[in-house]
Amino acid sequence: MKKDRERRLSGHGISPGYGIGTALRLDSEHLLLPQTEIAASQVEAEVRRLKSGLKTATRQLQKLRDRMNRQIGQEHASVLDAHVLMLEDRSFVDEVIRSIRQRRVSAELAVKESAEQVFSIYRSSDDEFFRERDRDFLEVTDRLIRVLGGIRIPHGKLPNDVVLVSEHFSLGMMAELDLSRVHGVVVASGGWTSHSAIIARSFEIPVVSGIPNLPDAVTTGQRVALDGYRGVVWVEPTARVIQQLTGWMAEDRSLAGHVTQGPSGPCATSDGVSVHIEVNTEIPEEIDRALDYGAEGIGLYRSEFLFLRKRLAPPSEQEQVRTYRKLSEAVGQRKATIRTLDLGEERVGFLAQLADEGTPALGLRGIRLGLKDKKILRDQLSAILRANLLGNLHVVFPMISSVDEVTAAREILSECAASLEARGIAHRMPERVGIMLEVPGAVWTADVFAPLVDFFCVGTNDFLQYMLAVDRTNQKVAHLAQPLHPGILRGLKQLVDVGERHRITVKFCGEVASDPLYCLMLLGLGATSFSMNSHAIPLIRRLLSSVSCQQVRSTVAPLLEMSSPDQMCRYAAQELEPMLPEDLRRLLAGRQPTGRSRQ
Amino acid sequence: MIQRVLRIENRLGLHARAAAKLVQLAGRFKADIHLSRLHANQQINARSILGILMLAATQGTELVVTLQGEDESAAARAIEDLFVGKFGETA
Repeated sequence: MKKDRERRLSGHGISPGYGIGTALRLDSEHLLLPQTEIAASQVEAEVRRLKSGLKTATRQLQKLRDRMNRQIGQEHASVLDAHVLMLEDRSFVDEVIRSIRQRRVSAELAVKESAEQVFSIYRSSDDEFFRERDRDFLEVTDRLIRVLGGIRIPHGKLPNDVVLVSEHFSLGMMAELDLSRVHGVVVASGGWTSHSAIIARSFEIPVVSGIPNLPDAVTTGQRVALDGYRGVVWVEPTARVIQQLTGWMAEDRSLAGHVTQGPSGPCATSDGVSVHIEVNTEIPEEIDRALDYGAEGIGLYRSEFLFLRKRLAPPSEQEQVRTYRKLSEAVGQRKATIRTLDLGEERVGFLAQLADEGTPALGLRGIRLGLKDKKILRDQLSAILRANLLGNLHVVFPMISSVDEVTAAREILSECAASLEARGIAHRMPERVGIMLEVPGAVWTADVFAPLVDFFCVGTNDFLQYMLAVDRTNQKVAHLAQPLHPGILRGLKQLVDVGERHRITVKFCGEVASDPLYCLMLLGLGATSFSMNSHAIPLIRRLLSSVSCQQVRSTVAPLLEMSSPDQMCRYAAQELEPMLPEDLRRLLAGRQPTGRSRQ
Repeated sequence: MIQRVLRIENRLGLHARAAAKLVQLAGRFKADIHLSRLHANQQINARSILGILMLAATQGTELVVTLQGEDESAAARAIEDLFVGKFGETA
C-alpha cells in the first residue's frame, strides 16, 4: 500500500518554498560535484578523510606493485613506486590540506585543484616526454578521488522535475545544472547563511538541510516532496501530502501575485510613512525577477560570488566591468549598491599563503583585506567606476571599524578615478558611498562615521554575530544570535537615531529584515529602509502596507526598556504578532519551524 | 654543506622510475638534500617526487645537488653513484 511506503524525514529549511519531484542522488559512480563547499566545523573531519583516503590509495598501489613484481618483474613494477611516492609527496599533500583548511572545499576538489597546479607546470615543459608525465600523476589523483568517493555529474539531460539529494550542497551544483528543472534540494548539512543557501533562495529553489543518512536515505527515482519552510521531506509521498503541498504552493504564488498586481514603486505604511524595500542579490541574472517582486532597487549586491567562482585567481578588472555593467543595465532607472569584496583571506584561494587564522570572522577580511592587498580593491573600484556610466551604482565598504579606513578607502576610490581620467577611460563616480556598520566599535561611535558617508548599511547577520559574540557557523551556538535582545535593540536604535540626526539613510539588510516579526521590530525602532532576498519581498511589502507605523512604534517602545530576551520574546509574541494581517499569520504559522532561531 | 654538479647520463632522463629511486635514496639520509638546474635559482627538495619530475631533466642535463647535514658526505657519495650508475638502467 502506498501509504506504507511514505517516509517523513525531518530537518530544517534553509531555503523556503515547496517542491515535488523525482529524486536524483548526487553520489553514485557517475556523478561528480565539481565544487563542494564545506562548513568550518567540517574542515578537520575532511582533512582526516583525506588522510584516510591517501592511506587507502597507497595500499592499493602497493598491492598492485607487488602483484606486478611477481608477474612481470621489478623493473616495470617500480613505476608504481613513483606513484606511491607521489601520494606521499609533502609539497602536494600539504597544499591539498591547506586548500581544505583555508578555502573550505571538499577533499576531492582540493585534490583536483592542487593537481591542476602541478599539471600546468608539467604541460609547460619543452620536452614532449615530460609533458606526458602528467599522465602518471593524473592516474594517481584519479585513483585518490575515486577512493574518496568523488562523483561525476550525469551527462545527458536531467528529468524536468528533479529533487537533488546529496550530502553537501554546492555552488558548483548550481552552476552546472539547468536550474529550471530543479524543484528542490535535500542535503545532510548546510546552513541558512551558507553561500549555496543564499543562492538557492535567490533562485527560489526550496532546500531542506540536516537530513541524516544522506544520500543513503533516498534512492534515485523515488518521488520526493519537500517543505523548505518547515524543513520536512517526504519520500514517496501519499496523495494527501501532495494535495496539501500543492495547495500551499498555490497560496505562495497567489501571495506573490497579489503584490505584483498591486501598486508598484515605493511602499507606504497604512498611516502614510514611506518605506523602502530593496533586494539583496549576487547575480545580475536574477535582478529582473527581483524587480518584478516590487524591489525598489538592489540594496546590496554581494560581490563575493564573483570572486568565489574563480578559485585560483581573482576576477580581472575587465571581467568585473562586464558583470557590473550588466548589473547597471538591469537596474536601469533604479539604483544598485555594490558591496566591495567581503571575504576573509582563507576563502580567497589566490591569497592562501598566509597563516591559518583562529577566528576568520575577526580576521583579515572585508575592507581590511582590501586595504592591505590594495590591488583587489583597486581593480574592483576601477571596475565599478567604469561600469557606472549610467550613474546608478553606489558603493558600500564592508567591515569598517575606523574612520581612518573610510578615509583610506575613499582615497583609493579617488585615485582610481584619477588614474582612469589620466588614461582617457570613460568612468563615473558613484553618487553615494556608504559603509557596513556591523563592528561594535563602529556601532557605538556611529556619529563619527556619519559625516564621512552617504549611508549606513547594517548587515543584520553579522551585526548579531559581533554584538552577541556568537559564531553563526557554529551549530551549537548559532541559535543564540537572536535579535530580541536589549543589546541588539539599543544598538539598532542608536544607528537609526544617528542616521536621523545626520540625515543619512540607514539601510537594514540581511535575514532579520526579511522575517516579518523582526521587520516590524525594526520598523518600530524607526527603520524605513530594508533590503532582503527576493522571495521575502512580496510578504514584507504586504506586511508593511497593512500596519500603522505609529502603532508599531508605540508597541515596540516597551521592548527598549526590557532586559530579558525571554521576556522580550514573550512580549513580541503577545503584542507584535497580532499586528500581522490574519491571512499572513495563518500562512506564516504554517511556515515557521519550531522556535524562531535560524543559523 | 656540499655541492656537486652531476650529469644525467641515462637515455630516459630523470623520469618517474629514476626519480623514485632518487627520492627513496634521499629518504635514507638525515641531511637536507636539494637539487636545481645549473644556473637556476629554484631549489627542489629531493624528497619530493613531484618536484624532481618538474625539473624535467633529460639526458645530458646537469643538476646541482646541495647537501647539508651530519651525513652529507655519505649522501653525496651515494647520490653521485646513482647518477653515474645511470640509475640502474641499462641505457
